[in-house]
Amino acid sequence: MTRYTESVENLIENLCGLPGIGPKSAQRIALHLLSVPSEETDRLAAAIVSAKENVRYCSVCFNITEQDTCDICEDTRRDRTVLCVVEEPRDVIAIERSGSYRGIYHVLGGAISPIDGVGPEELRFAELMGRLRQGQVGELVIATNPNAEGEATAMYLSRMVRPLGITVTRIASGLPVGGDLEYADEVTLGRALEHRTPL
Amino acid sequence: MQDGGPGAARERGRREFADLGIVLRTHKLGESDKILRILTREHGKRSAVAKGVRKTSSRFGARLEPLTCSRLLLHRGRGMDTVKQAEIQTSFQEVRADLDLFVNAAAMCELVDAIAEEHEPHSELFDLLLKGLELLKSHPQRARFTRAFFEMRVLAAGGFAPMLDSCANCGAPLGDGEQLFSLHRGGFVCEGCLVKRQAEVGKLVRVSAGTAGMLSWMSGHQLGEWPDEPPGAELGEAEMLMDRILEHWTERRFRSHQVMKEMP
Ligand SMILES: [Zn+2]
Ligand SMILES: [Zn+2]
Repeated sequence: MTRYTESVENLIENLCGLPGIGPKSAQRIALHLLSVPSEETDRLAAAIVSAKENVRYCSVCFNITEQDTCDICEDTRRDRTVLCVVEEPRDVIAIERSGSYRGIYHVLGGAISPIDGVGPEELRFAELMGRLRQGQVGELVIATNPNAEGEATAMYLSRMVRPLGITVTRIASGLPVGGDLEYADEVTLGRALEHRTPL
Repeated sequence: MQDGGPGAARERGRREFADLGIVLRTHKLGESDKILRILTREHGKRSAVAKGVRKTSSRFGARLEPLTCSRLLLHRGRGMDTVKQAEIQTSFQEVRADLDLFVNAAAMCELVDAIAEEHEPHSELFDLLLKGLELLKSHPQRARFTRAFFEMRVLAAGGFAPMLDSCANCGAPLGDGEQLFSLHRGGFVCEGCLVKRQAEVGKLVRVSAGTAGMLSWMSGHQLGEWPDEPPGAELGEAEMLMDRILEHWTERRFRSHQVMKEMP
């Protein structure tokens, strides 16, 4: 294979390995960047540097913020008796988009996955327990992903939090809205039946 | 026929194959895909991409969750396969829905992943894992015993059955009391050998007579059998020794063992 000049190879190497970007896409992006006016590449480089410099984790909930604490933790209108636990900052954004939640959050930074060596100590459980012991929270809503790792995390949390006398709830899982029943697998359908609600 | 004539169909036939598979572990890939590590019954351990599986609208739903045993249709790729279809044979949802069972199952999958060779058919290992998961599901209160027993059977299937009934160094019969296990020799060693050839036995692990008896029972029985004398306090020691043997054999530390220690 013919090689590009050293700086192009270096650019490709740095792009390659970003989430979802393989060698081919890295090459395509690199060549695209080289073809656009330098103002555009300067803007991109500046955006990366500034985001990296200004963005940090909220000191309370570990959401992404540009201040010490995030907008949600600062907002006095939010209900501080309900705390929602999620895996990643982007889950906060997804739940906020639903418009159905007015409480506060805690971002764990992942989910328990024994085979990957991710246990409670690798996640922000200690910080969560500290917040819960302050006594303001009456309900903990567990909104980790409805997959094996998210469920393991939810089970661990409920085991740890129940003794504190806090109500622990889990977001419902079942059939996706807009889908057909017949395509559902038996696990999903079983959960939907198990968690059916009276009308 | 939509895409191509008989030639295209033949080509598809060559590259597609159906098999039973157990999902050992998953990794996120890109925006909505996952890479699955699967132990198939006839086609060995495979890496396969499941496209769009992380979307809530994915047609795969829960069919490719870790531990699930599914009938799979896989498309052979150059590096990795692609999952075309999946139908659940046994979901093992009950195992995923219990934290302790899940952690034990994860340890079993991690062991299988560590020793199974890529694309090398190993149906005995597949059958052991399936049996192990079935036992976790049917006898949740025996989870720790099941895992230790499973590990013993996997060692034997790999040709590394520990020597438990006579000295692993000289073959002499062993006494009745507590025993010393030589990781280097792969079995218990007798008093005489300990005095004479210290250097060749390497690291030793001391276990009680009860533990030695339990391990020896495991090495002589099939997974799924249950001892007349239910396991008691010696189980913890047996688990510890099995973990040491596995670490020595595979030359690695098991991540799930570490996480297991963090569980309340
Ligand atoms: Zn915050
Ligand atoms: Zn000997």
